[in-house]
Amino acid sequence: MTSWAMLESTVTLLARGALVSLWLALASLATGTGLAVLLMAPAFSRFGLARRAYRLFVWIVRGTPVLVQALLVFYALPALDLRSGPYVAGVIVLTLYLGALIAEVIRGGVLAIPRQQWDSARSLGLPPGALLRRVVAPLVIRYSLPAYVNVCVMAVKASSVLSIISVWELTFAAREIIERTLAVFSVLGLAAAFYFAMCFGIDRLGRHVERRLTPGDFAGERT
Amino acid sequence: MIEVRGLRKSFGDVPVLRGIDLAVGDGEVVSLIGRSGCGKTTLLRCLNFLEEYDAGEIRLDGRLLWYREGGSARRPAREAEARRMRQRMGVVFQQYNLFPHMTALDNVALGPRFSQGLSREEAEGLGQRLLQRVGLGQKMRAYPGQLSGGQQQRVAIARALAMRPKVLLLDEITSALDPELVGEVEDVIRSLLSEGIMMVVVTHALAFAREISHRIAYVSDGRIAEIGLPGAVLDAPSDPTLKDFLRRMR
Repeated sequence: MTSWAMLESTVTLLARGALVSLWLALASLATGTGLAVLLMAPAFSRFGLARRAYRLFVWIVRGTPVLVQALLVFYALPALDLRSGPYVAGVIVLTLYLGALIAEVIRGGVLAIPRQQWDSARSLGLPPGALLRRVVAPLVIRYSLPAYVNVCVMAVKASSVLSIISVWELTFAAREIIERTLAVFSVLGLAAAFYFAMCFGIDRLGRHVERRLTPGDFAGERT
Repeated sequence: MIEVRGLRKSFGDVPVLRGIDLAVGDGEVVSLIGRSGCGKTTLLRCLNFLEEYDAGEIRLDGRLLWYREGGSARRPAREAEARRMRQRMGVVFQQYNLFPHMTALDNVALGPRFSQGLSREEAEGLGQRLLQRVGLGQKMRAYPGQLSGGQQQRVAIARALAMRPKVLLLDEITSALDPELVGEVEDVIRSLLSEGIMMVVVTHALAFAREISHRIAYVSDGRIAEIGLPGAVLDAPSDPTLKDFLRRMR
């Protein structure tokens, strides 16, 4: 095999792996964001027990490595007699991990709403649904977008951990190729370039959305 | 009319209101003056239940506000009930507190549309009329960040009026403004006087208070230390701390 053909097959394989990585990240971000929104109920619950349960969940997820979490879920699922492939286990791990991170991002966004805005909303007598949809959600989205984009970028990189539980994605593909070709640095370099391209794309997209959502002089708003 | 009886409130161990009694009649404008920290803003916030209070009662047209009638234990009114009560009062805040992600028109139309169930067209029509009335017909699509402080405060007044409130509560509405912008906001309030809307006004602007108020109340140390006609309170005060306060304000 000529070196040119080898490079071509390497890039093709890595590109396919990158697509899987991206898919894993996006799927887990979708489910993780859903989980995070649901977690706001206990996070801001009237009941101390619910708030403590939320904090415990965040502590555990944040305080342990994703790698360990991945292994744990991977071995736990069959033990629970759930015959799922590594992909399902992978998405579950990333969902829990990103869910906890995003929940904290959203919680930060809610806490960032100035007291005056709550006063305003209360003085207008807005019912809870309208308050949430018209005031809280739009403000939280704006306040937490930069941190959220950060988590999105982390999601792409965190997906590489799933190679340990035999999820075939970019890092797994790279290791496969390295075992065959022994071209450690060039293959890893290429894989890193793919990761970078994906993260960079997400970052640009995030900036774009941020600008679109910021009318007038929003950032300079004093209240 | 609004009747306040025996209103008490502490922040932790610090008593802020030590028994406020006040009655404001329909169409009456009452200004609350006093030193910073005397409790006048807290009193205003209690009127709209933005602060809970420890004791006492507030009635609007005879109906008890914020807490449930009867029974020995004090129980807050239901949330939905409290929301209905709030709709009868409009509040304008010192820092305008407009929603930064909404245009001026959306800010004004929000309450009528979602609290009072007007259709979108009705709410926006009302919003347009009110913004025109406060002289901002050209700024309906502007966001708060694109408006001057005076313009933002006029939007805030339109937003409060949009609820068609029985009472308007104004909390130092010109204190955060640059001096040259105070006039335009005061003009809007002047224009409301002919409509006979009840107002409770917390202010440091004594000349303005004298001009618009039927009565002025001097709040000191959590109590209303003196209340009466503007001339009597401002020109012939009897309370010694009020004399001192007025001397400093000159």
